[in-house]
Amino acid sequence: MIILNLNYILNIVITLFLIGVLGLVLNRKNILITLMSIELMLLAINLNFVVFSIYLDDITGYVFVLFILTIAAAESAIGLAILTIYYRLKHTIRIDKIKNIKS
Amino acid sequence: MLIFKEIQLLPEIFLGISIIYLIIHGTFISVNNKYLLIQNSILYLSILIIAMFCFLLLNNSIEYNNFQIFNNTIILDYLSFSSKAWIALISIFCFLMVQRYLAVQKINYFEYSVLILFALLGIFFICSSNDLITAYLSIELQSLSFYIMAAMKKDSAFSADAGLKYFILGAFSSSLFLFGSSILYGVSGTTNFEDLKNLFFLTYLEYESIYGVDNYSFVKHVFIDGGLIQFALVFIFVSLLFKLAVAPFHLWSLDIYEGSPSSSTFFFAVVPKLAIFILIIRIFYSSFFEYSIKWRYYIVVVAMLTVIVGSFGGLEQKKLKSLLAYSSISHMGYTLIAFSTGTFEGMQSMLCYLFLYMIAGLCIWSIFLLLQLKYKYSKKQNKDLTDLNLLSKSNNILALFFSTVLLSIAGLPPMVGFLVKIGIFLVSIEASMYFVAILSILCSVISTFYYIRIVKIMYFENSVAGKLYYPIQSNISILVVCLFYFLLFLFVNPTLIYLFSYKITLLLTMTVV
Repeated sequence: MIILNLNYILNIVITLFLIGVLGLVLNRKNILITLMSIELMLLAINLNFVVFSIYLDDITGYVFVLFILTIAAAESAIGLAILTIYYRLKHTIRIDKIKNIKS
Repeated sequence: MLIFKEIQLLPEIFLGISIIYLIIHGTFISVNNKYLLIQNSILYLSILIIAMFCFLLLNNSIEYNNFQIFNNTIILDYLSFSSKAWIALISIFCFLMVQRYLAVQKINYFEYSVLILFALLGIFFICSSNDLITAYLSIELQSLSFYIMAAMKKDSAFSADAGLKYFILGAFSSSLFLFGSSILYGVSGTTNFEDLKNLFFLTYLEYESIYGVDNYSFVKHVFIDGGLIQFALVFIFVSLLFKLAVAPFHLWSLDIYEGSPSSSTFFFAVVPKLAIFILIIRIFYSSFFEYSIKWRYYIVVVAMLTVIVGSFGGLEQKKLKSLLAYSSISHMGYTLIAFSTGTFEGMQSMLCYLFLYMIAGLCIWSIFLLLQLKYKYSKKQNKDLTDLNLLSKSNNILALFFSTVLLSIAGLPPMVGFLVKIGIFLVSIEASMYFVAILSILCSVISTFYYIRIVKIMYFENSVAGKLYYPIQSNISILVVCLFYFLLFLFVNPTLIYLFSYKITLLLTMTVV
């Protein structure tokens, strides 16, 4: 029986999530970095689900994690496909060429 | 009654299977050496599939029952039933209107209509989701198809741009939803809306009377951590507001509505809003009603901001599409005002407003899509407002329809738009939100300006030179006339829409209590 100290792990999760958010917001260079930070956010959430699932001894969290992994793969595939179209038209993937992307 | 309760989901199952069939069918035909163009036939097949979906749904006789199937992850009640039927009917019209636009713009991919069907499947599942997992999966199914639909015009830089932006912001907002739901899961140990409702329904009302005020804090401390739950709910709420394009999170919608092909914009603007609102109702009205004292104020602030931004932002727009985007933002604001009252009448007028928003949006966007500019060389479709100045001389009836629909959504008195709008103001006065009511009435007056300006451009400009339009096909014009008469009919007989929404709200609140 492992006694979890939930606070440490939650701190790690929230730090990872914030790194992802900041990578999305502050990044001015490359769209690939944006894709990576979206993945990082999703994986941090996965870690959160797994930790809570162990903590609560409940299986719903694991099921949710599997679904999120599947969706994240589909999402990054679609993102890369749109990125390919974009590169073919503009010959660059620099983010400052897109106006107004921040909100 | 049938033994398998799951058979009640037959319409969605039928839709899913036929989408898979359409993909296989289209792939086998389009790899043929002769490069067959099957765009049109697949589009008609999709219309047929949605019509069959409507037929199966309406014959489903679940109206008054409240089924929860697939391990309580999917709920089938009157709210989901009626909204699904409404969305399906609206989307049939969308398909019919979009067809000619697709042919002119040479979007000759059969995948386009399959993607619309996928998005519709996601929207139908949002309407009937009863679990955070199903809600997330169906939101993703809807928005992943929307990303591709935004980027579907492969030779246009604007379209690819819009697809990329929509992808990044959509992924961001759905990860916020996930973060909120993970904290909710950690605090409560369940993801089911029904369980959450049972867990939190009595917290404020009952324990205080049973255990007394002293023990109440103990019980509250043991059972729930209120602060963490509110933290999670804020995340979920922000992500759903992102999907609705409401004021602090609306900036993406302008670029995306402007950039993506008009047929996709039609779908983004008209179809998914009702489904997202139903998810908001299920989470915030059914499950976490006890927290309504807390979240009401946030929603009021967001709604007021949305109304102000929507009515002031539209003033300086020159493009028709971004003007319509701003108008949809302000409509979402009015709907949120009605939702923030949290009362029975608030829910009813909110549903009224959403149903009417969908019809009026359908009218406006279909007229917008039917106006094909007579350019010789380019297929440019991004219409300025000044392009409309010869419309009353060249196509008088269409100009009349357009101005009537615009005045209806602006809320001028002899129209049905006025009736639903005054419903919202009355509801907010009844909930003693006087300041909100006054401010939103003033903003509604301001937003009337940009609707009336279009009417002025169409009728009262003395210019001789201007853009001309291709004539409209007669079979499509029948549909436009039908929509217009339906709008007029709703003015003559507004009881129809009121009774409909009253029944939905009554059955919803009966299941809540």
